[in-house]
Amino acid sequence: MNRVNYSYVVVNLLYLAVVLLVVIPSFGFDGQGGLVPLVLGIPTLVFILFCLGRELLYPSAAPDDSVEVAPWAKAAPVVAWLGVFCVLVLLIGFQLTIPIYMVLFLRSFARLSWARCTVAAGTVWALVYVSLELVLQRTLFEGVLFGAILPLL
Amino acid sequence: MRILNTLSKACLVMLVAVALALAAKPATAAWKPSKPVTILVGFSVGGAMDTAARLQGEVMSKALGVPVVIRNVPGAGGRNSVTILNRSKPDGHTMAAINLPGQAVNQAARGMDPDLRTFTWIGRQVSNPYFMQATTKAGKDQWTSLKQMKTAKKPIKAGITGTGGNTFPISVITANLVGFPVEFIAGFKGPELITGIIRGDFSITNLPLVKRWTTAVQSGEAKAIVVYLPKRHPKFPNIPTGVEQGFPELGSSSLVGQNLYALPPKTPPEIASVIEEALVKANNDAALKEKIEANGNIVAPLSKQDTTKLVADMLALVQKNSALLKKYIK
Amino acid sequence: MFEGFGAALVTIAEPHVLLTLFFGSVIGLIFGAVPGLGGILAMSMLLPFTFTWDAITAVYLFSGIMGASSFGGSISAILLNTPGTPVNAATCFDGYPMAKRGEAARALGLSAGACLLGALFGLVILALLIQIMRPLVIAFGHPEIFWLVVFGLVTTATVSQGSLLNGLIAGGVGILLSLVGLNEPTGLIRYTMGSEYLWDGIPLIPFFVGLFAIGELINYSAQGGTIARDNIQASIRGAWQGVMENFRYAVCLLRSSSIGTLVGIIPGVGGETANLIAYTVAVQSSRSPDTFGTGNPEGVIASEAANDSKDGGALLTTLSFGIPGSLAMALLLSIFIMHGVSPGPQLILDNPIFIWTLLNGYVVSNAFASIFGLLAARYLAIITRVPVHYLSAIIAVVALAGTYILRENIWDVLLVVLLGILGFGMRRAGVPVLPLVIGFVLGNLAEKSFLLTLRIHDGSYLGFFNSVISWILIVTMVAVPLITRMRTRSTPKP
Repeated sequence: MNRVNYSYVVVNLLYLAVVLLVVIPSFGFDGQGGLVPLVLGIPTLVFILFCLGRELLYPSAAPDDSVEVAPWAKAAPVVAWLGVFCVLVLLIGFQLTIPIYMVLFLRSFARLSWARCTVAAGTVWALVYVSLELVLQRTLFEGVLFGAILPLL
Repeated sequence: MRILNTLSKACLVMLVAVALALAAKPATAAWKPSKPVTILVGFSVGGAMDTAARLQGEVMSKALGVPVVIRNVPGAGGRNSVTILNRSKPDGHTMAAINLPGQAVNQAARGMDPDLRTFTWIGRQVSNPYFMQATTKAGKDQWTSLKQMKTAKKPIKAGITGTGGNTFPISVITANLVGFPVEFIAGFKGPELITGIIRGDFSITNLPLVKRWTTAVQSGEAKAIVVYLPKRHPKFPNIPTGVEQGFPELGSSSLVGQNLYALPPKTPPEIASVIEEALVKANNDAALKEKIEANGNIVAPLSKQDTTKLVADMLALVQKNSALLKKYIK
Repeated sequence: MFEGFGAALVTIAEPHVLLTLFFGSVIGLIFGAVPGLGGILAMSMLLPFTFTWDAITAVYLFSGIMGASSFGGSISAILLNTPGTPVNAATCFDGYPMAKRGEAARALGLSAGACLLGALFGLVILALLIQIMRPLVIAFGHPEIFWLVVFGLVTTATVSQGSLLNGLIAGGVGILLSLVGLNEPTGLIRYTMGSEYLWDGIPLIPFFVGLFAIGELINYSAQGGTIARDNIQASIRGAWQGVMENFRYAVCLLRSSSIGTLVGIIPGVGGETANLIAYTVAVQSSRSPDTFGTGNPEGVIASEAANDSKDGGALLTTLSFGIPGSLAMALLLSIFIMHGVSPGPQLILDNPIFIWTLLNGYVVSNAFASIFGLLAARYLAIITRVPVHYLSAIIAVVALAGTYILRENIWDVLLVVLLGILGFGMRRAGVPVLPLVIGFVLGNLAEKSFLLTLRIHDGSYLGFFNSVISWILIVTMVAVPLITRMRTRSTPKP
């Protein structure tokens, strides 16, 4: 028997969440506000449930060993690095995050020499700074630790 | 001993006096911005508010001695500039151009924060008179004057962009003041209001009285019914006012679209004065005025006090019509 | 109507005009290629400087930026699976698989050729249509827009690469995601879960940058090596071959340019829809629809030809009605007005030279961009041979900073990363991304035009069927896949 493709299950569970978030409140709208969401949402919901059930009971949809796409185990560190970038930007802003992130990422993930890391980080930082802040006169996010205001979520 | 005592007291008094003088000094010196001043614009680049802010920003930056940067935060009918300003530091480095009566609707009819009256209002960017045009498409309901519209048996279809910006409250309030039944069709983009009126998708629409929105009138595919001003617009002298048609309330300044400048709540008065001065300089620049007014907006400077009063008046008007507005807001 | 065409051609040969156009093209290329930035940002930044210029020079600068930014965007779409601007989304679908196959230069050549030829075809179509422009624009009301968009949407089933059900689900979810936020026709704020951030819906650029750029970045960073997997030595050759291939697929080119021009002409249909509709029609009318998404040259041609023909259409509507059809046009219009040129119905009649000057400028800037593309393709293609660790660090930084700059909302950065993880998950799960994107871009417009048609026609569904254009679109929508299927069956597979 084939193994269950867990990526497929997770993506479909995510889809399911989106569809439920749309379909459930749509029953409460008066007038035409819920018409299109329901007409499209309910069949989509049925399809998702069908596909999920099929995959869990008779796994066959697509084997989770594609060569084209990296496995989660290898992707997880990259995702974690992106997470680090987000947290750093939120806290200390782009100006500091860009060089710090680049040096750390290139050093520990790509295993480049310190010199190469520093040169790459410096070049990218200068490029971003010159083009966005100097030429375009835009202020990059400064980080909540330096008093930047978070927009409403 | 006594002398010593007196001397030490005197020293103490002097010390206190010097300390007080030192403490008071920053307050008496004119405030100067220490970094670029940001103007928040709640609409995209190229619009009336953005263009005026960019032009005025150039002059203001010379007066303030620091660059003035325009930051476009489009979305939600201009609301983003209001929410960001409300949470900005009142240090004079962030100000916003705010569109009314659109933003008054969010407060008075939608019950949303913040209270616009808490902002430190600086003055007026431009005023933006609105006008109503009606379709002349054969086979559709055609309207030629406000009096005639009052006789309408079934609701008159009015096209609007949405319940966000200025068009919606102005359309609701004017229909109410004139007293004709109205049905709103929302969701058109600006240009679609022109193709829609030509096509006869709806009977009437209200738009800012600037050249680009009068092309259907120029080509005879729509008829201009009324401009919401006390007197005729000098650049569009053929469009009659509400006053002329027997509806004097339609000349109220609360019905004119207003882009007003504000600083965050609790901005110290000395900072507000410096920014106001820079704005006055921009408003007095004749070449600038000509550029801004080229497409129909009116540069009409307003003092801090008058701006604050105008905001209160507009809120009151929207509040009065809030029951009607709420009918269309869910 | 053609008077003025020759005179306009003469003015364009003046050195300062050429220089302005060249300058605009360079800026357009750079701003187009960096994800998040885009031509609009460049134009808005340069706007204050042009206030003191004469109108024509300023307009040349802007048409230069507009003309080149689309090709610029296709460079990053092809090389990095990152649409430089939202209008290049469909270019990723086949351009990037070509780059991975080691055919980056060929794909860039295809795009360069399609951009220039698309702009030229757009110009020719406009010249033919200019007299009936106004009636055509007016004839395209909301029922017609609805059918046009549905035409694009039904393709989600065809482009699902394998499982039809997976395609339908992704398309459905894409449409539902596009409905989040304030729904103007009903006044409802839907599915935001109380978030103000979602009032205007899920923002388009973070959606693209996340799903495409970051999703793919996670993949290649995890795999290591280089982007071009096969045939690495050959990857820098073939640009010229790519350009010439446009003529081999002349039907696709012509069809996509016509679609692009039409979408450009209709106000209210955003530029980001042109490439997707042209792409979906290309899939529908292909004899081998399953090769799309795997590096079919027609996919790149369809997307880029539509992109570069649409701006001419939008320009003409903007000028003849005096109302801007897009942000770029709004900027252009404000320049006109500030320089005392009043756009409107009379402009085409009174001042044809003016319009031709503009359209010619647009084509010339496209030519600049395409020549650049051709010359630089072999060097640009080297990117696909750079070790991905460098790329991944640089792209993460540039894409996230670029996305932030656009709306200056830090939550956009977070959204990009979350969507990037979803994008990677979809690849890993073998679920198609294409239908999700098509659904997301077209869904909201479909619902809006559906609701508006009902409101305009007092709730009657007959409104959808009472125009000739509606029927043409309905019949085409049904007939194209049927005919294609019949043709495919009658010709034996090689």
